Amino acid sequence: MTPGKAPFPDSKTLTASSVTRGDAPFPDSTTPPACPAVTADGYRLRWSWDRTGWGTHCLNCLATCPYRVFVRDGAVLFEEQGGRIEPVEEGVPDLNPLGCQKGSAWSRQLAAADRVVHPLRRVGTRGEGRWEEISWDEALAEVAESVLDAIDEDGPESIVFEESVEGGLMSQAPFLRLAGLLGAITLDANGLVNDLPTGQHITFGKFSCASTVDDTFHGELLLVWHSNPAYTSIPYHHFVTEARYRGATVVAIAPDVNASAVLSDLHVPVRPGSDAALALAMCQVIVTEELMDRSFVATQTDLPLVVVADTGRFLRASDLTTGGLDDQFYLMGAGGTLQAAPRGTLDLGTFTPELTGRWTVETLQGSVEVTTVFTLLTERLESYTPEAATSACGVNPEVIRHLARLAASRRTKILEGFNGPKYYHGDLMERSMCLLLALTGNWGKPGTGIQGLALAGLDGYLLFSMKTAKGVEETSRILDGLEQAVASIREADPDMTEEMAGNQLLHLASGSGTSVPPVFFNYHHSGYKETWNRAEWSDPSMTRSFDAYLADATRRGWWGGVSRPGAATPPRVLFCVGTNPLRRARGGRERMLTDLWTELDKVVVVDFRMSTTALHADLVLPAAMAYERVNLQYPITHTLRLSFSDASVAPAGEARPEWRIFSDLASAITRAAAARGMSDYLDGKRTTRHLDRLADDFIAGGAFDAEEDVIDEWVRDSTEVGTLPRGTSLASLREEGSVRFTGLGVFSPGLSVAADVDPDRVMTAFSWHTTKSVPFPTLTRRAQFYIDHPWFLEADEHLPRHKEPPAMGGAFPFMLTSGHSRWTVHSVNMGNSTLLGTHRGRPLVVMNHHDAADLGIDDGNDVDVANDHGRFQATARITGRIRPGQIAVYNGFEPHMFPGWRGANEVEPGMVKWLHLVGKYGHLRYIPFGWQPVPADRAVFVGVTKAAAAADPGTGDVLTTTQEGAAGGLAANALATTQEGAG
Amino acid sequence: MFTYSLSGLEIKGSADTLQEVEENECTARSAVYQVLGQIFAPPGPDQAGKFRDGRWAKELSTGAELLPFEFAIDESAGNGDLSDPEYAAEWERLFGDDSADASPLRSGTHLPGTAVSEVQREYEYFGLATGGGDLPPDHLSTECEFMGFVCFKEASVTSDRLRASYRRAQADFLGRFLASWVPAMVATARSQSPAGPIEWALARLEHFVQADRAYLASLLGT
Repeated sequence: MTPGKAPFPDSKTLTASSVTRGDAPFPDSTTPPACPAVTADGYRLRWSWDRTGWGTHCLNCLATCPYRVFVRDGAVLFEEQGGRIEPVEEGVPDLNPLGCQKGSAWSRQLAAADRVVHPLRRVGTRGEGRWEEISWDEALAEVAESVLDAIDEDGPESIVFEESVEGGLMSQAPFLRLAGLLGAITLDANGLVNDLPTGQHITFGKFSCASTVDDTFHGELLLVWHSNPAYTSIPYHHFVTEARYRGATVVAIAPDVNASAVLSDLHVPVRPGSDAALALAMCQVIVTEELMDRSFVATQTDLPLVVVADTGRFLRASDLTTGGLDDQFYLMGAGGTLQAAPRGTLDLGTFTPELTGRWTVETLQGSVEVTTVFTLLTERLESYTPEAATSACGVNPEVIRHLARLAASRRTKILEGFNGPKYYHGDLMERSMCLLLALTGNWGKPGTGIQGLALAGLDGYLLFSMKTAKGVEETSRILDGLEQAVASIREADPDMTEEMAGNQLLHLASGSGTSVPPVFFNYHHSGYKETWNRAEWSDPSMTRSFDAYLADATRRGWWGGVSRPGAATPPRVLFCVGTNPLRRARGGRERMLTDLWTELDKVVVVDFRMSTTALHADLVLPAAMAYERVNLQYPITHTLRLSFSDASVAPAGEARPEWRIFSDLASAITRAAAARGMSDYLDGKRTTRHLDRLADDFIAGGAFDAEEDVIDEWVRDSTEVGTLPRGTSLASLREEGSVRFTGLGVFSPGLSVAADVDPDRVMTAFSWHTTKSVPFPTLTRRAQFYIDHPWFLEADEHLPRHKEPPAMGGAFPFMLTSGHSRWTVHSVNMGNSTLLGTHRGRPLVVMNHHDAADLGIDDGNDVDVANDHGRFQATARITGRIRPGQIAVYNGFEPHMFPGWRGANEVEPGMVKWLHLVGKYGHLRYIPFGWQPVPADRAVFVGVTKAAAAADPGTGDVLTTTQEGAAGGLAANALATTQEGAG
Repeated sequence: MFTYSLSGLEIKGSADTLQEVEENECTARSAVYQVLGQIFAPPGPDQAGKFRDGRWAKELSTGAELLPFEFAIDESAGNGDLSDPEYAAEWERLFGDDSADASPLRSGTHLPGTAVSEVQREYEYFGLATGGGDLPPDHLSTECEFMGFVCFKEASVTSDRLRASYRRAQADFLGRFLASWVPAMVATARSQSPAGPIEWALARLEHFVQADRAYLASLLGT
């Protein structure tokens, strides 16, 4: 079947063009406005506009760039970087202009070929590609009936929403509100996209060492590690270059010579998956050459804490005295005198703990030998001499020594992206990288740290879900309640920081919320159980099956309240609001279709474009895009700015903002429930839910009828809390477009950054820890490199170490890595014809020229990539910049851009690390967006062969025709878009 | 004891009933805003009469007794001898929507680009709804009424957090609205040589708004 030639047999089955454009005319912004004459005036007229508004787009690089949107005759003419952000710190370059080619081409998607502008219902089987256009009333009524069926037959937890950060807050808030009112399930976004820096969390109890990006300018040594910011952080990569102009040394640590490496002083070609070995070797040099910052180590870390030698457990007060605290740890003073480690501060005063040694201590169990974490670490580092490590990481020993000495003598910042966490042993890599910073005293000071992520500042958004009425009095009531709750938590432990108490509150609340880690859902319902139990793809140190570990974790109650929906609750309705699991899911589209999809009665996609998931949905509801609705992007500390996106033009066709879609759906459910005689029900937690007032509750009795009311409330509440400048409102944002935060908030995500917001200074994360001695929110209240949990001890991961990536996918010669592309971070910009025209416009398998020669593959040949999990086909891109034995496929391409619709995730088993099932160990416990098992997709082993038949670039139809490959309609349309770009 | 009353705005919900509170600096400021709002309301049955017999000036004086800053009333200048029709005609000439040279008493006229919804949202966030009177939300009298309300709330709430919120709200509202457009409105009206009593009222309004803004700035350290 040739894509693009699917039949459209009758008038009710729509052609691609009629579906995407509809009957109602709307501007085609891909076509430049007519030029009246080739004169200066004509040119001016062509680029004249009648009004402007502010807009911002995807969150993906975390910059939330404010753009000016130019409008003429009700259509977007073009957009331009705002470029009016005020300087912050004297001598530090400002953030301007903030933006990239993706944002600057955004308007080309408003009328793109894959745009959805009418509610669509599938005709025929799922994925067949035949649709009929229906009214909103019909669509919402159908969804409402499915929702009620699910509630009636299997309970509300059979209704599942995928969380997303892609579309901004006004995309997420509506469905979270509806899910909350229904008692439904929402799958934790961080568990879906696996951006969770697990190693940072293990070390710091959080992953929010998230300084503002201009803090990079203060760095003297910038280690660009597990990231490629020249591709993926385009709006603020200039700080790296500017720091280099100022004298900083920039080192790119990456297996391939990526775009960021080209802009560095030194490229360190590390073998994929061996970064822990490299980092630990640097640590070994620092320790043996006595370059360590002893004071920093003594005060900030757990390295001086005392450990019982034979059990490997920290020495605790409960070991020494009956009734002693289980989280009171000890330091060893001169002469072998135990000293209780302060729990409320990192300040040791005049006390200097011993870092190395072995002593005998009397415990309730008798005499035991004790030592320190640092002693154990030093012993471990003996295996990581540069000479020993080089065999693992492939880096020359002298380069390792050079880097170690540099890090020990300079303000060092690690610019880490989200690549590391996507390795199976990414936690070990990150823990080792953090150790390097610890030994060299490199966090909490300008130009230091490891760049993490923090969603902080917009407290009004966090308050919103608790509000039942509009206004400051309700806000005050909630804040008073939260303060009381935190106070009562701290009453039991006065040494607890506000951040720790806030985390405790979040943890307790998570059991009654909607958000759950997706790992249990995937295990029970998405077909991962068998995969995760494949011992040959797992770490060899596992002594039991994955099943056994999972059962153990469940039995111990480590995931109590959030391991939902269980095996007995079949998912019935799946909502994907701007999410695209069939492209994203590690494990592949085919497994999702085989396992999860077959359980679902209804798949509802709310999106502005026809994603792969939409193509396999039952109903597709058209959402308004940026520029067509009001929105706020996620507040990220990278820029410390809140950016507003206005409704500069009307939504295309019948598209609607998500707030209205879900408000109308709530009304439809209430109506349908009344018709059935259903008024209320008990959810999975025995809470009564009210269908008869669902519609009214959604809009709080009319207070939040319109999305503008909602945004205004968030902004005003944030201003009340003090995180936005006084006087900030929807109106002021509409005028200014973007505003710098004045604080990080009262909730633990903000407190976790542990930094003051100074209007005249860049923000340096973790400065409270170093300057105010505020403890870390870990079990030991220090940056924790030693995890004395039995599972970690069993796995020999109680301390950082290097482990080879497990043989995920099977025994094959090539290691597949990935990375975000230059042209789209996820798939959201992949249909943009302008961007597609800036590259080959098709997925590529990037491979080394020597490997290619050995396999008889030329640039442009199609290659089969396969392993024991799956296969896909794409075009080879032959280059010398990638190392032999490695291949890379950049992220973001839709499966329908691959022959047979098999994307690169078909070969990714999506393994999760069993140790991440640990819970109820200090900071290793679930809070939303935090600690949880996430699937790995880096370092998958594959074989590569030249494809037997070259793909016809005109059709893209190469592999054996499948049902999906035969899909017509919009699928064909999307492929056509790709090929257009490829041309 | 000081009691607050509303005319153009409504309190949302029924739970929060108006209370009596001990008179203090906040209630004084609230009272002055109330009186100013009433003075600049469209001409009604007793509007001119209160100028003629000096009741406006008296009410201002009484209300201002506990003010924390200087506010000269100059009671004698507040009297006038305009008849009801003369007053109505003068008011229309100076502030009426139909008069070409008029200086309408609406923030939307003097603050281009400011939507009425913006001021409405301000009211709603602080517990008020519009619709209780004939005046538009951005009318001087309504805005004065709002200021009077939030001053009263500052005096009446028991929560320190809320008290601070209402105080900030006063400063922000003055900064974004009244203090931003009243001077321009007064200047335009003055250019039309207003009759004595109205000139007096304009001067009181302008002076009070500026003095109150300075007072709040000193309290909030801004």
